Amino acid sequence: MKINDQDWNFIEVIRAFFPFRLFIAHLKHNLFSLVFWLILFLIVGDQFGSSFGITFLFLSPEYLGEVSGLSFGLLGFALGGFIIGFNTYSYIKIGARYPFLTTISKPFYKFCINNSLIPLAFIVFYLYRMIQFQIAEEFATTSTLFYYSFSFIAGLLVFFIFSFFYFFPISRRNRKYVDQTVKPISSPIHKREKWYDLFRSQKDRTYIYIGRRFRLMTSRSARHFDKKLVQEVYAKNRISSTLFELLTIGMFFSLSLFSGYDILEVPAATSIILLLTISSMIFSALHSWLKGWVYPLLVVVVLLMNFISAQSGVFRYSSYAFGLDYSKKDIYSIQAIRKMAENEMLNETSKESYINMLENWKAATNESKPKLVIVNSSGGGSRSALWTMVVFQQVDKTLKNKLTKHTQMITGASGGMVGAAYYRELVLRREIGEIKNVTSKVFAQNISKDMLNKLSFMASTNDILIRAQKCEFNGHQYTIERGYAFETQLHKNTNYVLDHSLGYYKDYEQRGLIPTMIFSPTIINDGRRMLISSQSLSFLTQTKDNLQNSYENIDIHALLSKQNTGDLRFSSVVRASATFPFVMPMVTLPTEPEIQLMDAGIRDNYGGKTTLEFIDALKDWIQKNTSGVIIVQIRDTKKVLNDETYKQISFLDKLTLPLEICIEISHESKILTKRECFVSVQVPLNFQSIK
Amino acid sequence: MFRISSGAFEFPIDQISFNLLENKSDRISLSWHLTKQEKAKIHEAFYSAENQASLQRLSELLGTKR
Repeated sequence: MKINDQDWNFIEVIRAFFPFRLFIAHLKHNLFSLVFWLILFLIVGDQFGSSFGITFLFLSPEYLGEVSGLSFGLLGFALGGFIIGFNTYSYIKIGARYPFLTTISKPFYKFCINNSLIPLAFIVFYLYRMIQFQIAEEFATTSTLFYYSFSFIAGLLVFFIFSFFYFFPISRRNRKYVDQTVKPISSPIHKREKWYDLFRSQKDRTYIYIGRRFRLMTSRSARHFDKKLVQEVYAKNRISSTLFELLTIGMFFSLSLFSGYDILEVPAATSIILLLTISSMIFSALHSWLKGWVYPLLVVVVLLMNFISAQSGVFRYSSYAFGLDYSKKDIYSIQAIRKMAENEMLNETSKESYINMLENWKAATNESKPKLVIVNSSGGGSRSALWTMVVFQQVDKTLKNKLTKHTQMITGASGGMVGAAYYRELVLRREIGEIKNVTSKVFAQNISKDMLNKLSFMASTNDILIRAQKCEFNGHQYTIERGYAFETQLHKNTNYVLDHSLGYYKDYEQRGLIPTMIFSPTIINDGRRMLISSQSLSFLTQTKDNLQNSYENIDIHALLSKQNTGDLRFSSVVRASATFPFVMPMVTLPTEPEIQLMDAGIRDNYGGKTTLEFIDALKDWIQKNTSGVIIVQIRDTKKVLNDETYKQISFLDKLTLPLEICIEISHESKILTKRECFVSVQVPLNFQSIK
Repeated sequence: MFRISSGAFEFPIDQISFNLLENKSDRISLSWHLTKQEKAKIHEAFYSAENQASLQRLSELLGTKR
């Protein structure tokens, strides 16, 4: 091969090829930047955060409620920023290892071009995955695919063109003056590297680089350059990344501060890339100052934050249940729990009230001995929400509303309860004459609309840094975080029909118009279950036949005696039972010590536990007044899948499988004897951590 | 769990399941986002033989004429 009149064989070309040398240099000296690229590759390749759906955010970005050219353009624009960021800190970090850069014009520009192996690979990989995904999952047409790809690339180019004019303004292109500072690139956050000394220590090698008009060139030696000359060259070609860095950080803060405006709600993938850009810039700056000490420093910072948060309220972010007054706190202790559970009067009144409701339910069925239906709907995000909706709609359609008429109680977890709550609201609106048809397709469409973009946008802009925004509910102020975003999006998707308080449903349930819903989020402090319903459920907190009562269930109305629990926002209850780890924050309750509520699915993903306890507590009435119970399970996954297979356990599996099994068992105990079954209903997970 | 414990009560307890995913290969992601393809799969799932059989049984138990 002939390059610049020099003969090269293939191996030599590869070894001297500057883009390839730069890749090796990243591996050796700039590994952290590759970690950020790796995260992007893994996300797009569906290997990172895929169970939370992060991949969707990238392959199907939504802006202003739809996947559009604009949303892809914004994503491309953000990626452009990430790439320029990558180039600036790489140039600071490894640029000095290549003295020949001083011999060419616009060294930073040439550096960027030659440093585009990874960005280019990512862009190609992204487009490939996006097209594949859009065809298979969104049934996109060829013209749509072209439009999306074009918009994405246009977004990238817009950023590149902006940066080109920023880094190389026309007025400065031919400027010649000597500055004594030896700074090839200035950055407000990076330490100034002494390039000249590094220069001297480099071997004088010849590189093949991509030069002007994308032609391959061989590098010239810079050995003969003395210090003054190098300084001169740098002064001439100095670029400043100051504005770029400040703009990126400023953009991030403004997204976080003004996230209430739809127009600023960029696709979540965009805010994630922005976050990665900032993290990589800050990390690189820290690294330039502290070198290897940056890792121990990070550990110390995290430990310090942890310590401070345990001692004071700083960094201890809470997610609030809207409608509650957090200045009035009830005591949460084993004594308090026992007192509540053994309050015979409370238990009796709540049971009488429930039985009164059962009578009304029975009357509404118009049967002398009706079947009592209990619906259990499992957790599993949007898929469970839609599935619950589909099952209710289809069964009611076929059986002429007999399912909802006979259903007295609905329990379950997470997504399933979201779908059930929406359907129940629609049934109520039909009963009071506001709508005619609850089985319309529109409702299924509503509940299956995207919730993830809003949630992830809030998580990656507001929640991670400053939580400055406040909202007001029932005269109380709360900090806005992604839990609030979840509720807002749920109401938006369902046209605000669910925007009620918990107490709103009490009377309608009592009259037998709609079934009761029992939410059972897990109290993370001790593993107990918080039963939340519009009705008082104290009678479920004590099982009399039992010799050892572990007081596993707690009724929210009994616990929060200082509050008007009826004012609790219904969507906050739905959210508390759907706080999938990391995706949504645990919900804090106003108690002393504060208790945190998490997904009901942790203890009872299918609602089986609540159902059995419920039947057991009301068995006499059921025996006398019904012809039996039907438990309708709306499950997202079959108990034993038809094609279930089992694999040989490998070395690494031995480490990870025990954990996975723990999670699975918590979802459902598959094999239990009769005795164990009752024991499991009554023995909670662990009660040590109560103070 | 219900089957075993139902013996403890003096009234019949029937259990009817509607399953979204019947095979391991029917993967639908667990998140707050659904693709068009996933939505279509969920709507179709109701018409599977097993779920239709469940519907039939429920209909009989509730004494409805279809």
